[in-house]
Amino acid sequence: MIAALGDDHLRLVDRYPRMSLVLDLSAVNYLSSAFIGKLIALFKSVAANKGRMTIAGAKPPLMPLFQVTRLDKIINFEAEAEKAILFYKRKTL
Amino acid sequence: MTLPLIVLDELAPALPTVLWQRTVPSQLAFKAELIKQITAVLVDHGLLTDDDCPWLALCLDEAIVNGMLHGNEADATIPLRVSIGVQTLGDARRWLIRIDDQGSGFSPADVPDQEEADSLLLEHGRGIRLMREWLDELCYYCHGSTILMGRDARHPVLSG
Repeated sequence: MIAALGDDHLRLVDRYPRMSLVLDLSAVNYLSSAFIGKLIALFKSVAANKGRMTIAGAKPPLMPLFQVTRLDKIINFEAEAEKAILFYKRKTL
Repeated sequence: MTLPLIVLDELAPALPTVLWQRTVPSQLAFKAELIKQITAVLVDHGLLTDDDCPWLALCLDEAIVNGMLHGNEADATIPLRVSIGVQTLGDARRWLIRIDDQGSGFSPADVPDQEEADSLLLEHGRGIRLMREWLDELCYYCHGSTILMGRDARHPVLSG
């Protein structure tokens, strides 16, 4: 499942440059370091294709994992996916 | 306080009080159930809080994947042994998890230093850094083929 997530999204990012990507993690209870690695690969690919990416809905117990790895400094986080999508719709690239 | 990365040549000490022990084939298909069972044992003994669960899952995922894939080279005929123990010091309790693979270990020099700014966007090597952050005890024995990790119980949530 982790591999599928990364590969599927990387293919989409390559196909559609300047993508505005919102990843809704509201159904995710646990993260592995491999999953975090996939998120980083995805973020790097989006940024390289002049796109933007937001992680939305991460449960509060998961946030320290992003803070310790300092990913919260480089990736945008939003509490709700709808809010991030609305922002991207209003402010197009 | 972030723990240092310690890899010793010597054998790991025996767990003080063994609560649970399993041996599984080195196949990732067993990983999710193993993490679920270990979490349940610690919750049942009042050693975990809800906030601990994502961290524990990450630590276990890292240790189990490393043991199965790197240590035992994903050979299903080579077992991975997992034990849970508890150490009591007065009123304080610390859970301990020991995972033994059959590999030759690793060198700390091969583990990326996540403190370095350049390593922030590395896609690998983050797991041990996270473990060092959350655990109260982390030590690799037998050149790295045995991991012993532990954490003090904090405001435990009793099951049931």
